[in-house]
Amino acid sequence: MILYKKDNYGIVTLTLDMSGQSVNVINSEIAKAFEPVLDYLEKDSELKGVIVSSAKTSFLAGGDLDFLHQAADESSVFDYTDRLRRIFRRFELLKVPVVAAINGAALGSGFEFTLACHRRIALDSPNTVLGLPEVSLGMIPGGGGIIRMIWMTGLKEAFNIVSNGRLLHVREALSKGLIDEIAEDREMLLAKARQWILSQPKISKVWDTEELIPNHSNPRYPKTAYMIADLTSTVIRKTLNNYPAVLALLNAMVEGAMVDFEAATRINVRYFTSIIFSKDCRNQTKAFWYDTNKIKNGLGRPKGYGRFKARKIGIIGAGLMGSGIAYIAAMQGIKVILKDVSKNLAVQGRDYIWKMLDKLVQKQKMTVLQANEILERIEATEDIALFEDCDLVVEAVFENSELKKRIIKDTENYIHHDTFFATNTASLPISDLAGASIRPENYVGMHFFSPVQTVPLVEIIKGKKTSAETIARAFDFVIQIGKIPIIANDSPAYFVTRVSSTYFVEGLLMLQEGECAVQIENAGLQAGMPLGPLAYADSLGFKYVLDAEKHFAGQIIENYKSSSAFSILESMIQKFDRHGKVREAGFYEYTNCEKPYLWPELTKHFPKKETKALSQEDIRHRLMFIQCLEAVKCLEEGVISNTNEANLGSIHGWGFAPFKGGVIQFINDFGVEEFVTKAKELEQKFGPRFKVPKMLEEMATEKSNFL
Amino acid sequence: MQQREIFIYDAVRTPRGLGKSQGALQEIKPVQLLSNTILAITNRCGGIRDYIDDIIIGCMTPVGEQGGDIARAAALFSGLPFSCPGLQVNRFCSSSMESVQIAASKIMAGWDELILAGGIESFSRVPEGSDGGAMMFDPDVRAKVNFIPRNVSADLLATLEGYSREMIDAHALNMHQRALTTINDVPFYESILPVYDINGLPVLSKNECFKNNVNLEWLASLPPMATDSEDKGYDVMATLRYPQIEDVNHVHTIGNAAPLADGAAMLLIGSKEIGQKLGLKPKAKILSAAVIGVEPTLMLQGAPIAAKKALKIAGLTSKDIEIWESNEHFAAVGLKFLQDMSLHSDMVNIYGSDIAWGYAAGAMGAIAIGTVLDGLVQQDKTLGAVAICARSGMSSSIIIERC
Repeated sequence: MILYKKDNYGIVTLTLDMSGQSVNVINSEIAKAFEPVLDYLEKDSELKGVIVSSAKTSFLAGGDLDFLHQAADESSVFDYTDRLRRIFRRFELLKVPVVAAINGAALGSGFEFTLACHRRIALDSPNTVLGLPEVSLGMIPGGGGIIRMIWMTGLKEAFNIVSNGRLLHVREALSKGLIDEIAEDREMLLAKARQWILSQPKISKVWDTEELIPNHSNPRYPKTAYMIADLTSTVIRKTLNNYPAVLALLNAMVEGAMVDFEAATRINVRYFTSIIFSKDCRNQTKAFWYDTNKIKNGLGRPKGYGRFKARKIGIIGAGLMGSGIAYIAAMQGIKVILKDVSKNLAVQGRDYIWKMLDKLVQKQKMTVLQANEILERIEATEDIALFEDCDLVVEAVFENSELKKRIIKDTENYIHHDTFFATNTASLPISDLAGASIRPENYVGMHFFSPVQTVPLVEIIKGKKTSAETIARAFDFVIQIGKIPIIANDSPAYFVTRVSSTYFVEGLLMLQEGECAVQIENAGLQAGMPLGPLAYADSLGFKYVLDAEKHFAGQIIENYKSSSAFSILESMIQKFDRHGKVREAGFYEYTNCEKPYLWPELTKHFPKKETKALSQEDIRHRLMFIQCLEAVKCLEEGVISNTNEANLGSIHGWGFAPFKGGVIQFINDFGVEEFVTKAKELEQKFGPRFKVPKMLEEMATEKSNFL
Repeated sequence: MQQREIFIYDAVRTPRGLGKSQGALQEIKPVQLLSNTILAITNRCGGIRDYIDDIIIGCMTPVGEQGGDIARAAALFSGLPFSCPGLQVNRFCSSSMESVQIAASKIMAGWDELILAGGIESFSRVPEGSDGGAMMFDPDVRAKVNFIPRNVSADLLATLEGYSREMIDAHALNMHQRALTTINDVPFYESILPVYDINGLPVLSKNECFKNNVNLEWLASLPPMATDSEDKGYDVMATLRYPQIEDVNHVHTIGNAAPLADGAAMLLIGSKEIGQKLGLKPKAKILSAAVIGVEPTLMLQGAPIAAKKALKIAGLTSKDIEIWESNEHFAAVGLKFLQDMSLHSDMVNIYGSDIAWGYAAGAMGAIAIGTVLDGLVQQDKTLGAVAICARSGMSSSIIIERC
């Protein structure tokens, strides 16, 4: 667990090596192991110094999430965290120099531990990532690291780094003073550590010697007080009070900067404990840790097929989507044939990719050499014959069934019978498209999201004849390019488009009923959606929405009943020549201003009703419940097979309130029984679309929760 | 039990200086400004020194040289007998109004007979916010209160009430013009106390804040004060409480909002009996007083509610009052007061408002009461009232009757 070795100089090297796992993780076990070591070190009068390193490729990671989330009560979380805090502090207060020889990633409380050491020397490698990612899981760091960072980088900088859960590469950490030195290899790392200890350095920390924190970090200093006030309102602007961890972090830091170090770190533990027990933290940890891991570990992947690894892929269509897919694939070392109808168009796509790479070079996230290497993996062409040895072909042309059918027919003449073929589409029926294929078992839908570079999700759509093996390969490919796969069965609009469209449709209905547009938009935003429902409709484009709608109405669904909301979009196009964001005029005005604003004439054409307006809460419930109910129907109908994929699909697919943990976790968070009661109320007031699905009704009776 | 009658026996105030580094009163320390007003009253009302039961001073930023109970400091510095203790109170902009209300209640209860009640604010020496405070500076508290700066709150008020920039500027122009007429024609020599330095050299004898050549073109040309309100999140905070607005319409400028001012004001409050005993001539009788609270994001909308509460206590209606003073840190606040009280502009702030005179927060209540007293005499009227709104959604009001 912890290997102890003392050399002739009296320097002890502690090597962390947790058995049975590939990384060292801070948990209650390691806490127990540290204490006797500290007892021993504290008594050793011959001791000259301590070096802490790791036997793994990473240094130390932290947070025992299982323990924290299963803890029975606040006092057990507080005690556990305070114990860790004290262990770190005991290292800091040893009479001899303690060096963290950081040979790889140090994250969370693992990084907090290094901050308590007297010197941090890190291996200069791309894998040495440092930082406190807790906020991205809805938590805050608890081991006193944030208090140490206030003193080391200043309050504002420390808050900016930690509040974004930002991880730093070794050189950035060096420039910010969070580490002291870098070493090119493991040998040098330990040598430099030893050398520093032997130089008899001063080891007391500023927070233990200085009486006052510098003015720029002292909340009692007027300018700093106003800086904190601004940070607060900026946090509210960004979170709309939906992410309490960020505010708790700021509070822990501000209060921590006003009291002595010991009290500051204990205040830190108190805020940490309160956040661990907040619903928002539970929701986010569930989504971004548990759900994500389950999916990545193959929850939805058909079993019994060997791992697929793409070496070379073909992409048809070098537009934004196609180029985006080519870009992320090439970044992962995959060779790409990027094809369009003319070489010229294909080259334009490749140029676009170069622009993205160049941005990374400008930001010093990549060298020119690396960027060139990536670009060279992409071949721009009009020649379909080059697909010959591709492991996979992704078609990313625009949403037109005839075109897509023609392409699969053409392409199949040139690709291996074993190569699988993916069509990128948001709502077209896969089984129908696959009808044009001679090998429909190899044909699969792959719904990428725009912009491909940043959205971490891909929705895989299984047609009627798509084989399990093709799904397994599609799954592996999505993982290979660093995205999260969710798997939907072919059905109208699948999962993401189907559920997300209920959101803006509900907004349109309320507009039609005479609710105030501003209130509808604000309700959506304040409920945690990235855009108000009208802005969302704008972003999709009205014609696109109506075409899809007509498609469903005309071909796919029997007895399809179109929502009256779509007539609004029709009249927006026909009467007012407004088409959405693409044409810079939709429910919002997009021209001549920094910030889009609602079309001033909207109130004229959709006047507010005379009768009493809905409360903000009612509007919010309508917007959120309609999505949740649709998602439950998808589970019930087998469109999607598990809650974890539904949750992540909603968060990454259309930005469903992340602090709620996704569209299904929202129901758990609300309380299943309470949700059903509220939905019934909505059904009575606003119509049968709020009818509670049987599955949910039964869960309420059984008093069970979604997993 | 018959309530005791409470009288105002005297009232003085310093001229208001610009509350910033070029302001004339920056060279005079706050305790000195207060001392000037104390000595003016004790000199004018001979023989009261040994009978003053207490001195209560309102101050919005009671820290530094205004901290540590400036009332006791000023009493001792002015040579009042040790027997006069001293209390500092803070209800933000209605701090000195609160001094008067506490003094009146204590006297009414029969516990005290004669109290000096006033206020001080020296923005030029003790900047706003330098006293900290959880509401502004503790992230948790600020988020829960949803606290935004006053000027953005005033813009929010204008947005919700539909006051356009034109309406705001027109009202402000009116107030600037009234102030100009007043300073030329009715200078109130008796109540306004010129300020001298320690050598007796003159420092400030009349208001330093008012502007001479204000016109609509100039007002319309000014940029809004809230330039970073969107960036800093204040606009979003406003929509969190008021989701019916898309955005805050930033209408307030340095022309239609009051400049910060330095100043002090003092009133002598006492029972009927002490007045008779010491031979003091009462100026006015206090009929009623009230304080209220409203939602803090829209913090400057409470003055009409406080005024109505005080009117109800006194058994009067708004039309009975002949002269109103209402603080106007921002023009929207004045428009809202007229609107909610159904009053014509001619009834309120007849000598011009704080938009022209300047805003000496902690001293505003006492200054406004003094101004109403002067007005009742000058106009030969009987009933006057003051309403003050304060930061975080508090408001107070007081109603007086000239003797």
